[in-house]
Amino acid sequence: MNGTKKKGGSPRIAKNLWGHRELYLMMLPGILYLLINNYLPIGGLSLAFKKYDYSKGIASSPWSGLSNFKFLFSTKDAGMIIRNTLGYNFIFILLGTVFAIAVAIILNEIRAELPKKIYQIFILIPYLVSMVVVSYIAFAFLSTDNGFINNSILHSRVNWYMTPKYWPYILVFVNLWKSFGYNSIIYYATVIGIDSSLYEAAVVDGANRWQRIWHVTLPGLKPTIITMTLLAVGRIFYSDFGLFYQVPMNSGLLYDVTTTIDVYVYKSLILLNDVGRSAAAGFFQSICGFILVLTANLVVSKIDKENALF
Amino acid sequence: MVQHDKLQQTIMHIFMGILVLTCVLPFLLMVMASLTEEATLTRNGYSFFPEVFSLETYRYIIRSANTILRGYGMTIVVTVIGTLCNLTLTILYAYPLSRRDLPYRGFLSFFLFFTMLFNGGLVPTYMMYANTFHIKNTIFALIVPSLMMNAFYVIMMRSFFSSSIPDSLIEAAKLDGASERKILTSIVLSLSKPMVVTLVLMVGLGYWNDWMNGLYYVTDQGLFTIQMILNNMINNIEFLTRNASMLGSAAANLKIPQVGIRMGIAVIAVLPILIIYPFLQKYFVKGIVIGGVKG
Amino acid sequence: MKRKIVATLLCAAMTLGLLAGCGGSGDTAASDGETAPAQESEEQEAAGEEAPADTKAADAGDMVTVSLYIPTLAPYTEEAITEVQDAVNAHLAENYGIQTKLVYIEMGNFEKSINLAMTTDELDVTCYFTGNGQLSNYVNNGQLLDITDRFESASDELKNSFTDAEITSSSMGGRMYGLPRKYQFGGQEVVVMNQAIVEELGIDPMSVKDMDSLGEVLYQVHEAHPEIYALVPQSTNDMTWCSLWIGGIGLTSFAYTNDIDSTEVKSIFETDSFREFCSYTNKWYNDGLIMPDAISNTQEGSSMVTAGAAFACLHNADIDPLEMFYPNTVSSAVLIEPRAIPTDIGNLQYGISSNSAHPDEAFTLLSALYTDARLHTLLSFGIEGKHYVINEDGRAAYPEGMTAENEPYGGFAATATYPNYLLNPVKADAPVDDYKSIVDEWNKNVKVSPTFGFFFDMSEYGDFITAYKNLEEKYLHPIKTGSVALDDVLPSIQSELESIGFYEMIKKVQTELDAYLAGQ
Repeated sequence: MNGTKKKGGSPRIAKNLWGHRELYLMMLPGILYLLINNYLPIGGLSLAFKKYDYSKGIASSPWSGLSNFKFLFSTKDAGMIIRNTLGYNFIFILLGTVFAIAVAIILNEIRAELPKKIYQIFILIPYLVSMVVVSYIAFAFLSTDNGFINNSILHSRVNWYMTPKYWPYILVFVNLWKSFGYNSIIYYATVIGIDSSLYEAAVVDGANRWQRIWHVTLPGLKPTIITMTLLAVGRIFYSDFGLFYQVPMNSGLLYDVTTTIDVYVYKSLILLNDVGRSAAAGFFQSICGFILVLTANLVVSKIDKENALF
Repeated sequence: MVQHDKLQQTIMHIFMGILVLTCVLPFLLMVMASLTEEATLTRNGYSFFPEVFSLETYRYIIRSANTILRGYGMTIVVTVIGTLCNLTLTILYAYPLSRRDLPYRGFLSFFLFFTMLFNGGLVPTYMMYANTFHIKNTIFALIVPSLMMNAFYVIMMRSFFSSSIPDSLIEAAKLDGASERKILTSIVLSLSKPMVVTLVLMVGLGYWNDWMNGLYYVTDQGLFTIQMILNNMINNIEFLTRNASMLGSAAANLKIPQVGIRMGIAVIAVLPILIIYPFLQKYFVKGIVIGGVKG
Repeated sequence: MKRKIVATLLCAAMTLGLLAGCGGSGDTAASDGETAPAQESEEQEAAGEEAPADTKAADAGDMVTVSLYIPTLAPYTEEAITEVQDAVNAHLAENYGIQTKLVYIEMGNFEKSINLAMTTDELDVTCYFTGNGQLSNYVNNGQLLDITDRFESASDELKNSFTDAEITSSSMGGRMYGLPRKYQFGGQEVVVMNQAIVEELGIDPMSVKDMDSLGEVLYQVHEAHPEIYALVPQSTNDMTWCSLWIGGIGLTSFAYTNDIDSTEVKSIFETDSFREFCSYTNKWYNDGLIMPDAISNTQEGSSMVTAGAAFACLHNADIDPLEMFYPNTVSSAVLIEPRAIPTDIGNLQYGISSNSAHPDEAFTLLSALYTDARLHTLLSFGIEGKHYVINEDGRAAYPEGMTAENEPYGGFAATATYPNYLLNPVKADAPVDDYKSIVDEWNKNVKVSPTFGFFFDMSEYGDFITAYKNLEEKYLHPIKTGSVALDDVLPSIQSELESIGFYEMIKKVQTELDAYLAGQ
């Protein structure tokens, strides 16, 4: 952190602030907004350790220690749930990043302008559709009786929604299908922002396409890759509820491969309406993500300070 | 060499072509499902070439103009206003962060990043907005809670500024006596159009697809957005599976819209984005960054 | 260049506007007393349509406004609700000196919304669902106001409207927390069949009177029409809505008895009647009679039958004949006679939020909803002549040209979600002349489980309920729809039950139940 390193007391701080008052003023609306929208309610985290009583409010509800966390771990499925959450996220991050970068680079390498535009428009379509709609589309393909795959491709009657072994692949595919367009566009926007003189210099040096990609494009993408991955790591204990709940149509037979922390919490608390427990689950996800990101960020800043998040 | 290059280009086109088909065909299947007669759908299954076409879905949507078209209008208003405000906040926060000479910028980054990981949770946030700010059932409810919906966008913007705007350019402008505001608006922003357009797209999408704020803060039908209407249907279906027995015969009155209709509403919810997106697309390609830095 | 100038201007304008806006909200946080009124007036400008109603309320003097939350699934318009609200308020002002604000929320969002609204004082009177044992959660979370004393000192008219069983259903630990909707309890099981196919194959609907005779008909239909589903789930992936219909009687959300007379509780997966039901469905499923996609279905069975995509579905019916709701269908004979279990009664109730700022006025409204016929009719049917009409024979019907689909208020279609529809004029298509006597008769004749009235407080066992619900969700629907054979999964179910401590819990329930029965 740059700020804390500076020597000297308050006059120094005041001078720093005043010297950059225009910049700080610009940030003021954002700072105020974050304070109100994000920091003001943060006292609510205490709910994770309380037995919330509506009639008493947050502050006066009695403390309950760690009992709210118990339901996450007391279940015999705890291992399975955490395995699913982390496992899927890991694969999503890995495959998602590699594939998105590949597409971004290809888009950049393609010379014909019109097809390039068309590709960019169409690969984003899946991202635009909400997960609920994706679940209908998936059903249109996978339905045993009416599904496009069974009817028109396999001409058989595979019971997709009853067979757990297909679902790790289906879920990874759906996630990749839905998100790669968006990620590719982010990387593509970064690629076209890379200083073109670097490419020109590489061409002058006689670099071929692969060498240009390797020595110019990928290093140019590095900050974005690091940022995106760090952010994804922060969310590694979270999962897209729609993907794991709606796309498998909440089929009981698939629970072993589709239950993630969010799905479990949703199913558990839908009747209990226990504010304390949902706060506890959220707190657990946040704190794990926080630790992971801090660690990852530390590693990044050791290697390459400029690209660390903070 | 030229031959080789041509081959590479062809391979890349084929690859992208397959990707495009993978993206478009499922969507097309959805459109076709919304155009298929309901009975045909159950009898013959989903198909790209339905035996019996039916416009019943879209007739139903037009009949429900009062809710669906109104929701459409609300979605557009919320998206436009929300995106404008969100982008302003984002840029104003991101630009100073990108300046290497800004003191405390590590802290300010962390201040932002922290919000991505921790939040007070739904209930405290709700209490604040409903009790202190009284935004329930106002248009603010659909806009304000998402004003910096994703700290990630700020971080992205910051990375872009710091990697694409040369420090020397800003130094030069400062020497010329330009104020920070002037530097931001006339130099930095004009060099950042691709990123700004990308953000417009993402933030706009966020607002377009949002139903959470509506679910929590809006009960007034006049403020329903199209995504809320779609989401309400899903929630109603899920509710029925769990609780229908207690409604007794009343549940029989409460009809779940047929699959075709759900698909139809989904189609019209996506259509405007598909129409607008190509127009934003061209800003991407102009390569303003390159020209700007050189000049 | 021009574009650049425009962009700069726009940006500057936005910045200024935003700075002003944010400064404003920042102040509000610091001292919300001062700026709050200004913000409120802004809201009213933005809300537009709401403004007239608010000014009207102000004109009505110092009357307290009590909010009333009602779930709805029927289409409605905001204008119609405002109109009805004005009429209701005129009536309330005259007779009770209070005002109300009607808040309608889609059925699927209703529980989430009221749970949030109950954290603040914006909600006063609300409907809530208890069909899955939620009452103990509401009470345990401190969400509902204890109305025992207010009810004790209320009018006899109100007190006499409820039976002891109804009062028990809305009480916990001897304290009352709400008033149950007046309705018949329990239901009966029938099969809904597609009329065209029934006629074509010459099936006598009355010959379908149990699972065996249903099976015969299903095979016959499957032979003649292999292109449609012979049997589909009643709703989405659920073969029947109530565990009741498959023999097992739900005593609590996890303990079941084998049939209506039994008092021995066990796991639903281990009851004989569940085994019997599932052996039918499993055989039918394997023979292709049941929709193959049963467990990932998102449609209603009855609408598939109506549309001709399926031949039949099971249905739990009550007083109203099904043909009324489902065109082009016929009902079978009654498969299971009317019966009622503990969770059937009072599964939809109306109560007061513990955070209500005006509990006394809220109770006034609550009791009026159960006793004031004019108020209840106005609230549930809407405005006469506009949202419904009274025919010459004194019965209520849709106005000329209106149906459930385009009537703007929506109350007429969803009367059963209101507190006391027995106060309303009888509907024109109702099969009876007087709902009240029919409901009373039903409630008298319905076969009642000896466990009726027993209540097991689950508030201490949240973790167990969580674990059990997950287990049940995993297996129940696949087995009920016949997609999976019970015997194939029973060993793993039993070991899972064992591991979550199910068998100790069921012993506890049995002990308490035996004590309850001994005390009767």
